[in-house]
Amino acid sequence: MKSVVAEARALHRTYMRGDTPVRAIRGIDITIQAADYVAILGPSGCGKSTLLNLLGGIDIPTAGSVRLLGHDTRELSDRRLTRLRLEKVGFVFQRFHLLPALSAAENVELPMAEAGLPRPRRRARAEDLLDYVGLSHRVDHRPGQLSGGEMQRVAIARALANKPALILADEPTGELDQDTGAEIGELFLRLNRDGTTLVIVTHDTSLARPATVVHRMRDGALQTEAKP
Amino acid sequence: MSNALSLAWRTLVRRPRRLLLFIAGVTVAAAVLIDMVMLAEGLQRSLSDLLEETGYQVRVVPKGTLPFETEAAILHSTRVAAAFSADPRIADVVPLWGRTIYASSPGAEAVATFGYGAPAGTAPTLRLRVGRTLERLGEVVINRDLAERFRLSPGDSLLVGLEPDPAVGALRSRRVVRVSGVADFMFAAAGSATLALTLEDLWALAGTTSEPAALLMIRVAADANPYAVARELRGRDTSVDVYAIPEIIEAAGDRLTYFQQLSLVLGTVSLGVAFLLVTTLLTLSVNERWGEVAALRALGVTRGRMLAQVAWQGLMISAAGTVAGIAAGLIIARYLDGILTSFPGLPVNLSFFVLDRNDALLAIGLLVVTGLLAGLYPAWRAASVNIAAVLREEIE
Repeated sequence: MKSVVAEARALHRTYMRGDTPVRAIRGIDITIQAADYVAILGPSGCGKSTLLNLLGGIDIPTAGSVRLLGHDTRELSDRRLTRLRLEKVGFVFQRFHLLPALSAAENVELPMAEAGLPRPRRRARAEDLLDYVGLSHRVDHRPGQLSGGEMQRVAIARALANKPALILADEPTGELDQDTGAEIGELFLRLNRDGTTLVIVTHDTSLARPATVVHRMRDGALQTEAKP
Repeated sequence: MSNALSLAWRTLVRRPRRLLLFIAGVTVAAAVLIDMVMLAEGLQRSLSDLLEETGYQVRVVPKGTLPFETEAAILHSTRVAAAFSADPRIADVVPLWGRTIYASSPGAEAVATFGYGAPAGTAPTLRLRVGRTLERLGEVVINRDLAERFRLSPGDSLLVGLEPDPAVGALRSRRVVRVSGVADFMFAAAGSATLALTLEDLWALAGTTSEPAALLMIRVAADANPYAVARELRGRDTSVDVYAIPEIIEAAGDRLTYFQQLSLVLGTVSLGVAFLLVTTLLTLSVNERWGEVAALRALGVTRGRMLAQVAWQGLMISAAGTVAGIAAGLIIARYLDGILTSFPGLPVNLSFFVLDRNDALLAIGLLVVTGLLAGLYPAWRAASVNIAAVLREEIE
């Protein structure tokens, strides 16, 4: 039986947009098991990103609970939650969020430096990860010198830096053209086949096609489409 | 720590032109602060150094005056000095007097000079450049202005006297004296012709037999306390004021409080400007990097690390501005000192801007602390970013 990486029970999240309460998540139950490739599909504003943020411990539920690697995210201090994210969760953002002042390798090294890995070891691992995502020839390039697809590959390498138990990707192909998006999709598939647990929020059905579990979201609620 | 420092530096230099502009702003503020710190007590420190240089720790002046401030005099100064000298705590007493006298050289027009009279063999307010000091009657030590004007050097003759007789144009009471040396007069005004004669010669020239002195300079014995001696002499003769050097500086300071007030106000304003510049730059920078800050927090960068990164940036800007500001401040102070000390009547050896090590360290400390405080608000903003809200707003 596969271990549970993250699970949410009776999850609710309401936030304020100006004076208006927005009920982004309405009673979701979800379980992410090790080595799953979970795709969450749905129209804009249906609460996909909010769900991802809750699962990753960067947002706290209004009601219900999220257990991330056995820890209830509401019960952890900000410091411990930050440490849990650093060591066990990798994030891939739609807009990459690479630091423009750092090279590709230095961006990948960043979470390892934060975790206290010695410089020679993190440099070697950053180069290995960049090689893994097909960017061994771009190690010392800065984000401004990279294409969108290359930046997203660097972001994926950065997400893998501390050997996380879970990678959460929010619209990872949202800023890319179709061909580049397909390449990123293949990279995610390879990651999953190598044992990485993935949760991807996307509009891109091609990213959802290889998923082991596909969830469709509508108005903050989840409809599960199990796949073999 | 080194990671936060490195990130702070590399984030700062992402916009080098803007960074340089802000550092230039902090540099100007730091330069003003350094100058104000130098100005606040510069004149007093400079005066204190000059007074100490003479080697005489106590001054006796006519009641209610400062040395050479008025024409009031201590009469029969030789007798008064001898009486003081009888005190075993007093090693030496030198009476000084001064008045305007005229000097002339063959073929040259007479010029008004300030003539000091000092006992032969003493020269407490002279820095001898060439020749020797006064050793006998009929000798004169002149300053470099006078030496250049009449092309004189030791051994040459000079005609001195009182103001020219309007009827015949010749100097009254004139006599020929011999130049024994050329010196800088510590308390002479810039560009002024100054000379020193023996007291006896000056009294004779002035036609006075009352042996007036504008000032008695007293050197106390090695084991004596100048304050105690001054207090004792004050009680002994109520017609004079007696000051130890720190008391003169204090009296002068009372007349110079406006320098301290001006320095305090402008120094505070400059710190305020530095604070606002650093806060503005860092707040702008954090706001521009809002998404990046949220992403870093999501990736596992702690609040403390985020706070440290921005606080380091504040320190870096203020440190760079402080270093450049000290250099700029010293250059500006030198320029302003040149202007201020050229005012007529001011001793050329006085300085308005004096850099004291402790005050300089205080100014540097204030600037660094200002940089740190200025970074606190943007650092707090960065550290307390609502990660989910920023990431959500970014893609909406």
